[in-house]
Amino acid sequence: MLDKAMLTVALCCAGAIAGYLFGSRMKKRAQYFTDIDDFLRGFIGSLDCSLDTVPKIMASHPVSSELLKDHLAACRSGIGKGSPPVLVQGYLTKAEYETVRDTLTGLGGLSSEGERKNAENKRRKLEEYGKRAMEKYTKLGKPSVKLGFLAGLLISVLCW
Amino acid sequence: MSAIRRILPSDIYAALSDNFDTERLQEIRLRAEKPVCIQYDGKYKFLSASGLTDNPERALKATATDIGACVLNGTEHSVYAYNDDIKNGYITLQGGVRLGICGEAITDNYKIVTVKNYSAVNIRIPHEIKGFANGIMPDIVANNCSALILSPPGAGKTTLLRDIARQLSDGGMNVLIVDERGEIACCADGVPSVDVGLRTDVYTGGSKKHAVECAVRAMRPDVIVTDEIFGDEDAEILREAAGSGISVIASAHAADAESFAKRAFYEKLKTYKVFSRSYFISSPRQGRRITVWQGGS
Repeated sequence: MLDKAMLTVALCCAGAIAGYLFGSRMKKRAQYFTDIDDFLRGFIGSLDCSLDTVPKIMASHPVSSELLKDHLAACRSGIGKGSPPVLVQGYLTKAEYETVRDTLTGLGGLSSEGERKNAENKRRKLEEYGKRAMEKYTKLGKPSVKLGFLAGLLISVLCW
Repeated sequence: MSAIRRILPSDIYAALSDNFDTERLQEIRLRAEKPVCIQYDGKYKFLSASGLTDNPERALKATATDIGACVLNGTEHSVYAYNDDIKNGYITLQGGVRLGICGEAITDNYKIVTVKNYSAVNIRIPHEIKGFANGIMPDIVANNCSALILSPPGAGKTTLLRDIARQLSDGGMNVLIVDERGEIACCADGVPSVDVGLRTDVYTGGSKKHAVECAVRAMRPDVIVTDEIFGDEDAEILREAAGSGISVIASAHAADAESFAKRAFYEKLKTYKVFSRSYFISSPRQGRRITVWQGGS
């Protein structure tokens, strides 16, 4: 009896942890897209007033997503190196990653008006990815700990 | 040299850093699909991987992509932030290095919007020679610190202006450098990267007109130092400054003093009595000399 109880607790905990990891990954994805949207809005806004350079904006814009921080740092240090920077794909899908890479490495090559249109187009595309990531997180990510726990319980019941 | 390293293709930078003393390097010229040309010790030669050459076949060649990358890197990957400079044909880089740009101008209603398809760049490297103005400083001071420096391109007008500003400033005068192209004080993030003196203020980037207006109202300089004056508008601006009791030291391009004297612009300067003294720097090819020049004599 004690064995079965311990197995149940272990499986429930494992399910909850797996759910937590799954949920936090989704949360990070949603956060990434929120942050990159905020970054691009800041960049577009700077075209109207401060005209700060791309490396300066990349260095100074507040970002909470660790992956986006890495991406911005890689882009900033890659400027003037002659070859495009290598960005980590992380938890992004291939299509998302390619759009992000094209967006970040393509900033700054045009005049203000061209840059504004280009950045706004890219921002809208990324906004779509962000919406999907947020919906997925709301639907699956938030209750994932509970679902993981229940899955663990179900498996343990089946094992009895 | 860090600014040059940042913008040049690696093979060209390697050829330069391996073979040359940057103190003697004045210009690097890249033209699309043409040999790279440099001005070293005042002479133009082609650049090869192993040094200077007269043979264009042996020289390193620049591609249109190299030139585009040069401009993009020169703008810190932010063309929009430098677009006004690009429209004017140059970008000033860290350390006062000037990147002259040629390309295809895009116009809208007869106004240049931007430049694209860059075809050539000319990288000019500034030099700081302390004491360059020693020979003429007593004469400048004796003539109320009002002087016009004339010379052909590349003879050292800006170097001379910089040293005059430094010496006047260290001597106790409030000097304002009106540095439209950022070549005199070579400011990086607001700090001059060359010694322009202890009492020198620097106005970078804006027009001479705006700088002089601000100076007269707020900065109260004893002397205004500015470079490359050209045309009637500049003559009027300097007249305003001189009329406000501020001494003006400026430079202008001139193949020789006599041809400068024939320009309508010079007639205006003479009529307005902006300058008490003029100096002519002869080309380094003819052996650099600074001579006092007064109305054609």
